[in-house]
Amino acid sequence: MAGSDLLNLAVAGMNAQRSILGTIGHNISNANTEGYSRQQVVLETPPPQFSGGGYFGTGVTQQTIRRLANDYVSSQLRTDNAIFNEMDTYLGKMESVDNLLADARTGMAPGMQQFFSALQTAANDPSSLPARQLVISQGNSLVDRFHNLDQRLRAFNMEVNKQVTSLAARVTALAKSIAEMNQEVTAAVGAGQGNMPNDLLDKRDKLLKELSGYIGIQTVGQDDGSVNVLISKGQALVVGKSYNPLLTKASADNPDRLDVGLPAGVDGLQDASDNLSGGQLGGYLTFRNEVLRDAQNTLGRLALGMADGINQQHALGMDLEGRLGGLFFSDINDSIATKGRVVLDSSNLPPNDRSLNVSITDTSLLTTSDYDLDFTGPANDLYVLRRRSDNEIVSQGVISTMFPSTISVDGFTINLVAGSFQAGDHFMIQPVHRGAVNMEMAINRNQSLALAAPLRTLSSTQNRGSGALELNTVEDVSTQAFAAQSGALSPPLLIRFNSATSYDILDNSDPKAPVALIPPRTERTFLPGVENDIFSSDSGILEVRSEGALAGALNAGANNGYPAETFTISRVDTLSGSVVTQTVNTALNASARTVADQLNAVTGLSANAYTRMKVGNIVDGGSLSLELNGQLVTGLSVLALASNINNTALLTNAGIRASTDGTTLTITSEKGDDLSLIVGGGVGDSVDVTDMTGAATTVSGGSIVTEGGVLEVEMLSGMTFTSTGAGLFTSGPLPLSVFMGYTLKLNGLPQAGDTFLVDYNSRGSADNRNALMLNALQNVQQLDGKGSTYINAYSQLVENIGTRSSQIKINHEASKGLLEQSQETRDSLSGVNLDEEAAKLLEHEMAYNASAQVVTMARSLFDTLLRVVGA
Amino acid sequence: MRLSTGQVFDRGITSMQDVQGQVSRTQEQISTQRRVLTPADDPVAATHILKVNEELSQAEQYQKNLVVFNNRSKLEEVTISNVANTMQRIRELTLQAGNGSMSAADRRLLAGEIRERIEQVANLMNTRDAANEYLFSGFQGGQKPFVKDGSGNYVYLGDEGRRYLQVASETALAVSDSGKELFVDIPSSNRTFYTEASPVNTAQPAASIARVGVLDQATFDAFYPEDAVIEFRPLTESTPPGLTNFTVRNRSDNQIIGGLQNVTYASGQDIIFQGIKLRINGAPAVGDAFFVQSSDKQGMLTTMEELSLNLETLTDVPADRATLETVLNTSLVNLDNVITRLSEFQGSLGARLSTAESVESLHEDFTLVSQKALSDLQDLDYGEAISRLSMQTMVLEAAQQSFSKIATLSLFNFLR
Repeated sequence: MAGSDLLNLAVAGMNAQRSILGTIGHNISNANTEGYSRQQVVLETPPPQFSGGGYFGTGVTQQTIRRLANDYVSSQLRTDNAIFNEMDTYLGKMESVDNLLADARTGMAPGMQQFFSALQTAANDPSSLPARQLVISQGNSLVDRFHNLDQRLRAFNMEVNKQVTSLAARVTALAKSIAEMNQEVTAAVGAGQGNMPNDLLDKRDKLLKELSGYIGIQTVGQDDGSVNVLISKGQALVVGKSYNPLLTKASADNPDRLDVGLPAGVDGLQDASDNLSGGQLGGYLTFRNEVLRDAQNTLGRLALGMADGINQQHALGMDLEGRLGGLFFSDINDSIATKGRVVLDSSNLPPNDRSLNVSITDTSLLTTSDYDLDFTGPANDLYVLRRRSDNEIVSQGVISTMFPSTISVDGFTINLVAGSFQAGDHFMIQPVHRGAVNMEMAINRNQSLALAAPLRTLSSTQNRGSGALELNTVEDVSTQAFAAQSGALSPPLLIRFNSATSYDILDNSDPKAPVALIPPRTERTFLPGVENDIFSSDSGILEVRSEGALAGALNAGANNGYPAETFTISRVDTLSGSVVTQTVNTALNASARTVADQLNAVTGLSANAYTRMKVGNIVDGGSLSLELNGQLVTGLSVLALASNINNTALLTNAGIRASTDGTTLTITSEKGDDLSLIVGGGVGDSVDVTDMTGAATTVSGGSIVTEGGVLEVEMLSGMTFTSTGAGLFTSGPLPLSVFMGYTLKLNGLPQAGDTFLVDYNSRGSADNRNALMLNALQNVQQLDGKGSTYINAYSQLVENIGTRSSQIKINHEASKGLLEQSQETRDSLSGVNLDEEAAKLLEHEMAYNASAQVVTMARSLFDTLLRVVGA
Repeated sequence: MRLSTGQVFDRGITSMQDVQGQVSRTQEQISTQRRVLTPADDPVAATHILKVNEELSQAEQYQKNLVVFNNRSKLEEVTISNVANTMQRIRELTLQAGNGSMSAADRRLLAGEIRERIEQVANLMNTRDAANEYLFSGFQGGQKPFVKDGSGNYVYLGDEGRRYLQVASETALAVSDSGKELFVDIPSSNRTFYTEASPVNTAQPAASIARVGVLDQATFDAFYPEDAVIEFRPLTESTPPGLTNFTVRNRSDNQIIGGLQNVTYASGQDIIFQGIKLRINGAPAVGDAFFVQSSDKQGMLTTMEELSLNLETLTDVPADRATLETVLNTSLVNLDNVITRLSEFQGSLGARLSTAESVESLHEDFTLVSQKALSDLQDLDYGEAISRLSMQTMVLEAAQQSFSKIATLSLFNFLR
């Protein structure tokens, strides 16, 4: 073995150790460099040389410098980093909203409480102007709270938009850097003949990690050392040395919202905002999609519900100056509000002439969702309305070609007013979104606050019975009854009891001569001792009257002569929505009372019957006698006959009574029994009988006549009533509305002659009935299909946000743990340990010294040899 | 496991930050005295807190309403009991007037006192509440309820409205009684009548009708319960034509009463029919109508006025003495009816006040329970929080100390 070999061996060893020491130095200097992976020199024993006696080792060579990193660990770290950043951003935003809603200064709950408290105070003292002013001030502050809260939520949305824009720019910049790094890495790998450019890789990994903090990414390594970056559902952000920018653009169907995505087409973008997840961008987008819209909509719905509920009740009241209550809050269906509920998609094809709006019809049915109205084609008039919250199709079909066409669902109606709706059109419908911002006070004068009810009832001092009339409800002040502008009821009513069980309702416009209402309310049945409702709360209630040829007509003989009749009644079943048809058959000669009983057995019908007969011109030829319904009534003057009838218990018990004006005897059966009169005597004896049709007949002695009664049948909205006709009813009786707009209740035990008045509540400054009704709204379940009070609806929002943010908090903790764990795994593998490097420093210094010692020894061997040769 | 130097530092910092976060949270809880700082801390409790707060604020408002209720009801109670005391005095005076030894002059003296008492009672009946509203005028708080008409008789101008105050979510208590019920609709021992002008009369200034009284009780009893309408007829119907004239009819069947058809009118003339006497003053227009409403009730002011009028006018002749006896007897019955009515209302007021009291104590109990619930939901357990805080600060100190120890360990320290 040659001496130079030994020297070579030693030099190789020294070189190797020196490069190791150099790497250790590199590690130590980069101990605190972010993203740095420690490096290690990999040594190798070169192939041995055969030399007779065996294989001699040839020293050491440096194979490569290894970077201690693991792609799997790095990729896990990026994933965890993306999730953590998403949660961190989301949580931060959630906490702000959370505090905003529950805070006493900004939340709605104290505002609502103060408003209702002010109403109570005003109810305690309805004519006090300061108390009234307080209601208006608290109303204003309630509106302010709605505005502020909505404003804050809108500000969140703007902040999200701002952040999304700047994050997209940052992502684009990083994508560009990564693409450039890819290029450098590829070049370095080529130049390094397969050796990896470790520090470049670290730098790229660091960029990738930073990117993952902004957006969730997947990476795919390539053979040439470059790495491709994918976002969303596999869309390429970086491919080799090229990249795509991440763009933002205002959404076509919602200018408040930014779409985010990669370029598509000419200056377009493919919206990926619903699919992007991870990173801060994912956090903002999730916050926007899951929380912000929902919170704004819930708030909007609450505002709409309150404004509508208070407005409706307020309109039914009377103000301090005797006028009917107007709007309290602004009309929820004013033209600005209805138009603002539709967002026209800017990508709809021209001409840009579609006009449509959305009016709220029932706030209790509103959801907090937005809706998409799409004209799906192929025909231009086919539409689909989809609810976003659950992606359900809530309505679809064909719009009518005659404008306006309407689509009604979930408590609102879309009115298509005009325009060329065509296949491909899209509209976003947001019924409640702008509810809070559109809410305004409409009332500003405290005198206009309608705390009183518009009607009052009076009982006459002369009443002998204990009956008490009260206003039950005011249903609607747009009816005829309230049409008079001058604060009067038209007409004022007089309720007069004909007997303890029967009353008339009369138009009392002229108190000296009250007249019948149109249609008449005559001989209504009163049930003593229980609450009797007068008028219906059903705005669609109709009445048909028996106006058939024979109704109330006098018939010669012992029967009323009514033929058998068949009535057909239809109604819409409230549960199934289907039309239910029912028939009622009357018997031949059935009395009006019997028919009324039959009709009262039908759901939704209420029938009232009475019979009235007038008897006059009593001519007694010597043997006149009169028998009424089998009871002999004596007397030859109308006064005597009236008194006798009224004193015949068998008749009065059956609800038959008589009255007279001195010339004519009026006999009434308040229940609608037949009135049968037998005139005894001979040809010279006679009475004149006038029936209810107005026809007068002279009935001579020895004959019998019978008069049947008449009927009024009230039917609830949507019902129809037809008859086979020719008897009591005509075949198509004309239905008349008997809806008054208010209802009354009558209690106690009134007596004949007792009267009650219903009139406008002029000067009723001390009345607080409407204030009490307004107050009651606080505890009435008005929202969510009548399942939530106002405060409930709000606390549900607080609970939802609270629950979500506590859930996010847990997820945030978990993602933080995971990130820490993968960071530890990475650091454990790639991080520099200074103690370790110090130990290695010692180790390799010693090895270097040893190799140096070999050089020394090789020299002394060589010297020894030279001395021997030279000697 | 291999640890890099960075990890050692990171771990130390992270764990110190965690503990610092906990310390600061506990500190915030202690300084705000609340366990639930945001709804996210306990969403269910947060919703409960909102609900309980609402209930508490409602209960507080109801308690305020009860104060208003008590003030007003007590004012009413005092007023009614003052009226009742005065009525007792008038009853005594009536008894005194029945004393046979009283002369007409003595009775006039009594009548003088009764007149004064009438004024006093009328003032009480026109009492106003703290908000300057008349206590007994129903809904027409701004309308003085008992005023004298053109003939000097008191008439009631209020209505029957009754105001309620909400004192609990399901309980509303009446806070007013109408003067009509209290002082006007009082059973009378004799059937009597009152008069009304039709509200749609057109004469300007309006003519007025005044009741004089029942002259012949038996005739009037036969007429009862019929009412009469006095209607001013067209001038063409009078004899000779061109004079203001009126016709009196039964209200129910329009029969003309006692031949009083197209009677020539003179303001203030006595109009007598069916045993009653009344007067119409002023210049009624054609079509104006006045109503005579027969009734078995009589207002207390009318009762007293009739009494004082009779005490003033009846002389000591035997016929007048007989009339006086009848008048005194009916007046006593009527006064007793008044006193009964007043005590009925005192009773019902008392019942309302006691309901209010029990409602109030319910609210107090409820408030107490709710505040306890609220405190359980949101308030901090100080003992627990403070021991938690000292635990956390101890951990923090330990972490800081150990970190400073570990951070200084390095092999390089020995390579010198």
